[in-house]
Amino acid sequence: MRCRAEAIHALAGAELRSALRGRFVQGFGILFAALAVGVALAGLAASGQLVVQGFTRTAVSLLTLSLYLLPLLGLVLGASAFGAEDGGTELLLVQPVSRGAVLVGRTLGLALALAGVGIVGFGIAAVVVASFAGSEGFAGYLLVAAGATAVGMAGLGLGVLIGVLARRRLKAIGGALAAWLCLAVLFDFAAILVLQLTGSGQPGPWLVGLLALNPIDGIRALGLVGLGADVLLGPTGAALERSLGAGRGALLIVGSLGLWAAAPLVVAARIYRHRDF
Amino acid sequence: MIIEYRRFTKRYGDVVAANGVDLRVPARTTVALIGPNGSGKTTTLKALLGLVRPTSGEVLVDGTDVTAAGAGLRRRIGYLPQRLSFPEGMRALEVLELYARLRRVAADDLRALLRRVELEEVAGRAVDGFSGGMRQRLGLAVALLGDPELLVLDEPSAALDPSGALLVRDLIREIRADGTGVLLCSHDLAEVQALADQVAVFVGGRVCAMGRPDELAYTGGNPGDIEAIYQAYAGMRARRAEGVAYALPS
Repeated sequence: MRCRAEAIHALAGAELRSALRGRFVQGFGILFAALAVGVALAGLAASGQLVVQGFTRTAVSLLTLSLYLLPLLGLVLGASAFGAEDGGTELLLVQPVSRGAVLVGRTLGLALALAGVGIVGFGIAAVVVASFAGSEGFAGYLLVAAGATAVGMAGLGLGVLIGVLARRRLKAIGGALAAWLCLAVLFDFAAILVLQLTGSGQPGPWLVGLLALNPIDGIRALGLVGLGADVLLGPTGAALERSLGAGRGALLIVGSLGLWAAAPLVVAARIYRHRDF
Repeated sequence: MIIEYRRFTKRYGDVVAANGVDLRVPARTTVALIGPNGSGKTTTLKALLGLVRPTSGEVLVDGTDVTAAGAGLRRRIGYLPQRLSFPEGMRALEVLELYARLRRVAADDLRALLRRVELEEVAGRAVDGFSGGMRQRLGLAVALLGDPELLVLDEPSAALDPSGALLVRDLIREIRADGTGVLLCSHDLAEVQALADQVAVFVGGRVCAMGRPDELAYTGGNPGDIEAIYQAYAGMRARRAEGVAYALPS
């Protein structure tokens, strides 16, 4: 047990170091931080000066941005790391360490790198906001940061599974991008279609079910409710708040997010353990 | 460490990568697997390492089936894969530290190991900028961690320039001299000639000849000449068609 923990620790550390030194994570981290700071700055006020938004407005803007970017980062990181079945993978697997430990250790390292990108992006923007606009609404901002990072982790789990299934880096990255497109863009159209076909067109059980199916939309909705959906979105927001605010809907979405993060990893571990390299 | 393959067969769907391989690798000897591409050499090596599970047959190490042997066996074997890669951005010493931790080897002698493969001066450099030869030598250092009883080398000098290949060959020669067994597969017949105590010739997924080079049949030249042995077995059908005779040593 101790050997396994030590191996996981060594692998996670190496993967984290490698990811943080890689151009992809560095570039993505800089991009996300720059966009987050850009969002924190409201733009040019009438006086021609830059003004800084408060935490709540920044959180609302960052919610959408981060829910596009962090799952994309997670998907590509996981797929790229596990899609490359080369001598490096073989060299790891012939060490006196179980394949499960290799998968868990490497995924943990990637998860830490992804969390680092989230913390740096949200953190720098938070410093800018706190310096100029005070700390009101910080709790909601933290909720958004945590939710978006958690969705990134779900993306990472799915990316690992895609990588394990694809066995080739390019194919894996292509699969990851396709999955992101489905979850971040196409799912919304499908959801609108379903809501129209079910006749209501209003938030209700169908909407909660659809939100639970897709962690990006689910956490976006929960984030909006947490930040005050009735104020932000008017009657639709109020209806959304009624659907999710009662507790069960929110629990369903959070539970579904946990499942999205864990289930692909469990399947990936099963495949990884029994596969030929 | 004695290795035995008994009717080892590996199929990938309709493709038969290894087709009833029978092979015995005695302790502390250097055995080279030679044969054309797709003849089952790499699959045979990978089965010993647990990277490939047999469809049928057995691979035994000291009488124990490798599929049941687990981590204890892997600690006794060092491996240099064909397409070697290391985590992006890691430095040479960090790579060795990682694998030393995974093999539970004390980290005190890692610099000495880097010195042995002539990489001590670049211990702090990122491996991304290493040449093919430097990567291969670092791979050998990883394979040597914990003083394994057997080294498994898959094309150790493929894609190296002549000086890099000679350096790697010298290193393998030193490792052999220390009493470590070596099981290697190679397309470089000069390398096999220089290193191998025994040769196994693979054709069509099975071993068609195995023994000391001077025991095997050959076409022209001298007994023990690996090129002539290769021609006698691996190129046998084609050579026969051309009317070239082959001979057994007297």
